[in-house]
Amino acid sequence: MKILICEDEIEVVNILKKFLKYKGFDADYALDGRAALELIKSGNYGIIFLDINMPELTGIEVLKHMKENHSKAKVIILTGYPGSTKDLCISLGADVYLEKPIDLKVIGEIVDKYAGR
Amino acid sequence: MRIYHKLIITFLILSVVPTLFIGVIGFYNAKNSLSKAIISNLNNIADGGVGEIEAFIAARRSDMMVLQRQNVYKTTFSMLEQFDSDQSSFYRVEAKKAIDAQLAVFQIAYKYADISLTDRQGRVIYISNPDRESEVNRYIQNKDDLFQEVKGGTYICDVCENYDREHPFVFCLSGLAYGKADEVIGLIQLKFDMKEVFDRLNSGTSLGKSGEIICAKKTPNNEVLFLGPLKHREAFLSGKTIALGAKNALAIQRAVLGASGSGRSTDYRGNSVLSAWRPIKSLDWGLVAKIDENEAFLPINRLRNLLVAVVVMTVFSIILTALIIAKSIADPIDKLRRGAKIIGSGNLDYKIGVASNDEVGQLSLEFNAMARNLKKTTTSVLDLNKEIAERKRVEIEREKTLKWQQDVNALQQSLLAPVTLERKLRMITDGVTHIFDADFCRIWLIQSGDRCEQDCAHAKIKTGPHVCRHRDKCLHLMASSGRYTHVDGREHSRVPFGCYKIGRIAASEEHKFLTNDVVSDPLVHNHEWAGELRLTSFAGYQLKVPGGETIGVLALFAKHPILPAEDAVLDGFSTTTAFVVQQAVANNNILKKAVELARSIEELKRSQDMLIQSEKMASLGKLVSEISHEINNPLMIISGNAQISLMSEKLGGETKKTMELIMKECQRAKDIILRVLRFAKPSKGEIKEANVCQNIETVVGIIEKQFKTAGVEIKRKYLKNPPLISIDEQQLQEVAMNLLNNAKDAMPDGGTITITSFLENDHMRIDFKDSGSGMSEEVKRNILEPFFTTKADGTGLGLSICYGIIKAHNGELKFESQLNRGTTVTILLPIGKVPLA
Repeated sequence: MKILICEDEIEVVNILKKFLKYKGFDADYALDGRAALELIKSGNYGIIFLDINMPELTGIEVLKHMKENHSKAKVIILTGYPGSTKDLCISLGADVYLEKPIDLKVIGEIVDKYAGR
Repeated sequence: MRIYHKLIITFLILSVVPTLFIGVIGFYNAKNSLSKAIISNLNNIADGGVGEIEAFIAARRSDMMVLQRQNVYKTTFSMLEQFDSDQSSFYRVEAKKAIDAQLAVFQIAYKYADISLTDRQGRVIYISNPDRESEVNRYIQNKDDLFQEVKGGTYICDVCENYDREHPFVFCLSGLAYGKADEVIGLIQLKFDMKEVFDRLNSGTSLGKSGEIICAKKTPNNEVLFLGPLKHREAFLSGKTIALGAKNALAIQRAVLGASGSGRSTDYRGNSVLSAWRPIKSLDWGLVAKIDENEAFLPINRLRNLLVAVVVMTVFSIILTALIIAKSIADPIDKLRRGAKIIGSGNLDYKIGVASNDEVGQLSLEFNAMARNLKKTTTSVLDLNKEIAERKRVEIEREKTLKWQQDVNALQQSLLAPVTLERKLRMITDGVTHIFDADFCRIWLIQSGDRCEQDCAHAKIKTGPHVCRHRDKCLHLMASSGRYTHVDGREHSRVPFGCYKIGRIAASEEHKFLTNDVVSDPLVHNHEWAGELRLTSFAGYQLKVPGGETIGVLALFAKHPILPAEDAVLDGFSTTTAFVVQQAVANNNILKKAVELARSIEELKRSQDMLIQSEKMASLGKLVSEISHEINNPLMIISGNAQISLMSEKLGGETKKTMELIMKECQRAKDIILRVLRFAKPSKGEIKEANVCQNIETVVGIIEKQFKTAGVEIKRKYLKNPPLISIDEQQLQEVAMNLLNNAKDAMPDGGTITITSFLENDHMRIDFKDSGSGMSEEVKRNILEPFFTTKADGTGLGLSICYGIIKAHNGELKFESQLNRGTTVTILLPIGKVPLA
C-alpha cells in the first residue's frame, strides 16, 4: 500500500517516515499543498497523511480537490490546530482527525487496519 | 304655678273645706241623736213586751191553780178512768158533762184552745175540744219527764208542733190534778195560743215596717229556738232554731243567755239592725225589739242627701266665684308679665294694654314709660354694637384670610421639596383638606386614557351625557385626601373629559365652579349621597398653566359654606398648583430621562466591558490557536523522536526513562494548550437537556474521597426535582471540578464546602461556598484574568475557562468573598432551551 505524507515540517515528515518504515511501509511526502496534490493525482495512494496548515494549498483545499476527483485514498488529518477544523475535515471526507503531538502507536494501529493486517 | 291657679286653690281651700267639714259633722251629730232616740224607744218596747208576756203567762198559771182545786175531778176522774173504753157509758157521759160544765167557762173566758185530763199512766181521758175527741185514750209522750217537771207547780212546754194549722203558736201549761185526799190523780193540761199576744206586741209598737219583737228560748242542745212569728220569714215559723254563737241574730242570743242591753247588731237575716234585748226570767226566754237600720235612719239619710246637694251647690258657686275673682286679678298681672317679657326681649315698641285704674293698671303705665325711655337709650347702644360687630367680622375674616394665605404659602414652600409628583399632589390635597376644613379634596390630571380597552366603566357607557368622547383627554385621579384617600377606585379614578362635574369643570369656559347648596345643585348629580354625608359646599378649579392650557382639576367638598375669601385663596392656589404640577411633571420627566440615561450608560459600559472581554477573548483565541499550532509541531517532533527512540531495542535504561519523561511532558504541554484553547474558544460539545445537580454530583462522587483525606467535607443542598437545562454536561462538570478544586485549595487546613442549588427568577442558581481563606480585593479584581493565579503550580486558566463556559451557556459566574471568611462562587444558568452563545 502506498502512503503519502503531506506536511510542511520536514522533521515531522522524517519521524513519520521512520515510524512507517519501522512498520514496514514506504511513504512519499510533499512539503506543500500543491506538490501534495500533484503526487495524489499521479500516484495511487492508499493512505494520505494530510497537514492542514501548509504553504501553497492548505490541507482543506487539498481535501476538497480530492473529493472533487473522487479519490478513494484514506485520509488521516494531522493538525496543530486542535479541534477547530475537525467537523469541516470530516464533512469533506477525511477519515481520521489527529491532533499533534500524535501518539505513534495510534498511527500504527490505524495503518495496520487500513492495510488489512 | 301661675297666680291664677294659686288664687283658685286658695279660694277653694278657704271655702270648700269648712263647708264640707260642717256638713259632715252636722250629719253625724244628727245621726247619733236619732240613733239614741230609736234605741231608747226600743228599750221601752222591749221592757213593755217582757212585762206583757210575763203578765200573760202569770194569768195562765193562775187559771191552772184554780182548775187544780176544782172538786169536779175528785169524783169524775175515776169514772172517766173506769169507763174509758165505753164512750157511750152512762157514767162516763155524766162525768164528762159535769167536767164540761166546769171547764167550758175557762175555755170560753180565756180562749184556751183545749183543756185535757190525763191519768197517772199518761193516758188522755178527757179533752174539752170536741174536734180533738179522737185523742182520748191515747198516751202522751214523755209522761215520766212531764210528771217530774210539774212536781214544783206548773210547767210550760215549748210550742206544740203540729197542733193546728190555724194555731201555730199553741203552748201547753201542765199542772197536777189532785184527788179527794190531795193525792195526785193525773195531769191537767191547758193549751193556749200566744199568736194574739205576739201580734199585739208587734202591732202596738212603733217599730215601723221592718221592726218587730221576737221571742226565743235556749234549748238543751245550745240552740236558740224562736217561739213566735218572724216578720221577715213567713215560712220561718216558731220552733225553728239557730245555733248559739252563730254570726246572725246576736241580740236574741244575748237575751236567751240572760243578758240585757241595746245597740247595733244583726238580726236572723244578717241585716244590720238597731235592737234592745231582754231576758224573760220567769220563763227562761229572751225577747228582742229591733228595727232595720235602713228604716231607722231613713230620715237621717234624707238629711244626708239634702246636705250633699247643698254642699255641691255651695262648692260649685264657690268655684265659679273663685274663677271669676282669680281671672279678674290674674289676667291683668299676666298681661303685665307678658308685656314685660316682650319689652325685656328687646321689643321696646310694645305697649302693655292694661286698661284698669287699679295698681296693676298703674304699673302697666309705668312699664310703658320705662320701655320708651329704654328704647331711647338702647337705640344708640345697638347702633354702636352693630358697628363693633361689623368691624369684628371684617377683622376675623381678614385674620382668617391671612391665616389661609399663610398656610397656603407654607404649603407652597413645602412643595419645593424634591419628591415625586404623586407625593406633591397628595401634599396639596392634604393641605387643602386641612387648611379649609374640607370633607375631602382631590386632584385630577388630564392624560391619555389608559383603561379604555380594559375595564374603564365610563368606556362602556354608549348613550347619554356621560359618553366618553375624548380618549386622549382623560382625567386621572392623582391624589385624594380627607374622607376618601384612595385613587384606584373603579369608576372614580378616571373621569371622561366633559362628563360629570369634574369633566365638565375641566372642559368649561369658566375656570372655576362653586356652590354652597350641594344637595340641590344640578352639577352635583348624586344629591342623595351629598345629603347623607351632610355636605354643604363644592368647589372645583381648573389647573391652568401659563399659556392657558388646562392640565387638570382641583376640587373639594365641605360641610360648611365656602366663603368668598376662601374661594379667592383657593382660586389663587389652583394656579400655583398648576404651576407646581407642571414643574413637577417637567422634573419628573427630567428625572426619568436621567434614570434612563444612567441605565443606558451602565448598559453601554457593560456592553463595552463585554465587547472588550469578547475582543480580548477573540484575540486570545486567535493567539492561542496560532501558538498552539506553532508549539504542537515542535512537540510533535520532540514526542515523535522520543517515540521512535523508544522503539529502538538498543536504548539504555536511563535514556529510555528520559525518552518517556520527554513524552510525558509533551503530553502535559498538549493538555495545557488544549485548556488554553478551550478557554479562549470553548469547543461546541453536545448540548442536551440535563439535570445540573446530577452532573455536579457526578463530579463530587469522583473527588469526595480525595477531599475527605485532605480534611474537606462537602455538604449538598440540592433543589429537589430541578428543571432540566440545556447544557454541555462535560463542560459543566469541568466547571464544577474547577470550582471545587479552587475551594479545596483555599482550605489547606481542611474545611467545608457547601453546594446549594435553587431557583431564582428564571434562573437555576448553584452556590459553591467554602470556609477558606477568602480573596483580597486585588485577587477579586483579577480573578477572571487569564493566566492570573495565586497557586504556585497554577496556570491561571481554570476560572477563566469556567467563565467562558458559563458565558457560552448564557449564564453568569459571580464571586462573593471575604478575607479569612470564605468565598461563594455562584453559577446562574437560564432555565429553558437557551441556544448556546
